[in-house]
Amino acid sequence: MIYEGKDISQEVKESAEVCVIGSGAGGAVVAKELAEAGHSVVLLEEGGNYTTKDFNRSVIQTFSRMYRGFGATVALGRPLIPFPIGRCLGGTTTINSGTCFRTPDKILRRWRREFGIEGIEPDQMQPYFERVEKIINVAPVNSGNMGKNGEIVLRGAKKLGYSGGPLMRNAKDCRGCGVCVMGCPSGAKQPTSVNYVPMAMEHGARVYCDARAEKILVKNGVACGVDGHILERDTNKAKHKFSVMAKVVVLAAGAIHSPLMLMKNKLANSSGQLGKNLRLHPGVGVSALMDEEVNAWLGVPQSVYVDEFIDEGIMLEGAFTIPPLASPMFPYFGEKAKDLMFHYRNIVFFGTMVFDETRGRVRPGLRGLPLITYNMIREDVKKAARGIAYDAEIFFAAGAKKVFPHIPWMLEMTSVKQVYEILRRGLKASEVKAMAFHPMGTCSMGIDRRYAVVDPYSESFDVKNLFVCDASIFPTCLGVNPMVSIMAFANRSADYIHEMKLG
Amino acid sequence: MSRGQVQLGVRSERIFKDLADRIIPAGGPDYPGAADIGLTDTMLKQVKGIPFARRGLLTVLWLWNISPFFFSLKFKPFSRLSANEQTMYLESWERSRFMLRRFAFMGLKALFMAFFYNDPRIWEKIGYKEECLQKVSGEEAEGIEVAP
Repeated sequence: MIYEGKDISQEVKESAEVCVIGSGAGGAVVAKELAEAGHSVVLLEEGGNYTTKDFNRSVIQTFSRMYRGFGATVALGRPLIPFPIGRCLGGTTTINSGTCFRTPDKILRRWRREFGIEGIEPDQMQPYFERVEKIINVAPVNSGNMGKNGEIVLRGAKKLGYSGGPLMRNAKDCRGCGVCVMGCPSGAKQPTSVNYVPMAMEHGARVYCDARAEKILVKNGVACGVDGHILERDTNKAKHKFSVMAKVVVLAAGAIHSPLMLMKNKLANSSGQLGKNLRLHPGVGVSALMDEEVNAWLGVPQSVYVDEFIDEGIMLEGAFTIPPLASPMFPYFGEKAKDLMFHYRNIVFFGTMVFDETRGRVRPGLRGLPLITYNMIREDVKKAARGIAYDAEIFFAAGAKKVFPHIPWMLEMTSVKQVYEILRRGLKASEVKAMAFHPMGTCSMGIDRRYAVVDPYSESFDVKNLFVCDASIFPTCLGVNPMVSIMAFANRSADYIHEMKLG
Repeated sequence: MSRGQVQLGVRSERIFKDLADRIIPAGGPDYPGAADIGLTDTMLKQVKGIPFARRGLLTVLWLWNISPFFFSLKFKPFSRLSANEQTMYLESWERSRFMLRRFAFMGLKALFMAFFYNDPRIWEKIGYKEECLQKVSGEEAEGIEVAP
């Protein structure tokens, strides 16, 4: 059973072997694996429990219910980078595009070489990837649900000889409704709320929604529980206290809120690295107007990739979306914007994900909110400019008549020659119109407690039995969508907890 | 203005409506604009439950109204600019060399557009349908159309 705020009328006191904070890609995996291994588990989720019947296409309702801060988390700096994060059962897996990549071998080897992390060689991680992929039903996007947006991108890429193809996704019988970011209306996408969380519950895990963890209890340098409040869902006001006593505490609140919680509790920061090293995978987008009718909202929104430029530190990926989210991205306002939106049926969209070397930071800000700073370094800005140029080139090759590169000094392009102008002139950081979806790196793992927050199995160097299991442990950016990596590393940590802490 | 929505006062409401009209103008050959569908009233109703929404909105509108004194040579508040001048003033924000002005304009535009294009009446006009690419069967089919 899932206990929700509305069902709880008094203070909650729980006791378990493991208390997991967060039900997203990291927390749900740890909860399921440890519950299945026979341990008692309490899983806490700050957001609400929403299922297929609650999902709809109203941006206002969806963003206020299922996104943190109405989807308006922003990294301050040059440029400003908004990045939406989930706050509901399943965390961001409920509202992401469902793209699945394993951690690239090159990255795993880099972490061993540069950070001394052993036991994560590609062949050692393979069983974890396989296990996760089986549970969340990872399969490639097929031609039946790809949609024309993806087809047009691949058509352009093929003409130019660029490598790419359909993405792998965690979906079963996807119907291509095109609204993954609003929660899947057909129940095809496989967030943790439909697999790992129910599996954990089958093995006895108790799941609390609307439960905001606030304090990690520590005794003699060992984590021993979590305190917090049950919330009124509509107002977010604290209703009742809760307290969970546990032998092991697993923090999986994401790369912004995990370090924030540790900082607020003044824990795990002897290295001084907590909250630093924030990576975002900044994304830039390009839209284009085709002569043909595309109806790009039909089909998987993020269905294809172009990996021709991986060595330059960019991956071309992008998701088409519904009118209220797409319209602000397009250039212009007034009659011109109305005219462009009138041709919504003919618009296509693609993007670029930058493998960032920029290091941002998370700190506690006003009213308990995170203060996130991130100033894109020159190298990353160059990658963003190149990505925009390559996206535009692909659209011209696919037959686009007008391309909108979302650059302040070039609102629209009508000739492929302008691609070279972008490459030649480049961009300033302040000219990049970016969004991000993959915060990571803020509690990075390593072998040296002077430079890392957690050890190679995600346990805090400072507080025994306190584990961090989310994207914040990654010491560098991944260069691919992080969901499967988070899950595989969480599975690995769960095995360690089972064998070394609770066995 | 009706009960059940955030009350702004006459001047602030006028600025709010002017902004909506400039960003999504009324009429036109293809489909309606902000004024035609009562966009600002819808927005004020939707934000009613949000704490500090009224105070925040009033502050933003007040700052916006006096901003032409600092960012243009007109020496008039936004509310006293003609429709054409208001459009030109917004363009100066959209194309500004200063990142913060451009981002502030993007935020403003996003606010109005997100509400406007969230309206099913507008979806119909631009050809967007609440549908899926492939057939949905069983109970899940309820309310979900399939593209022809």
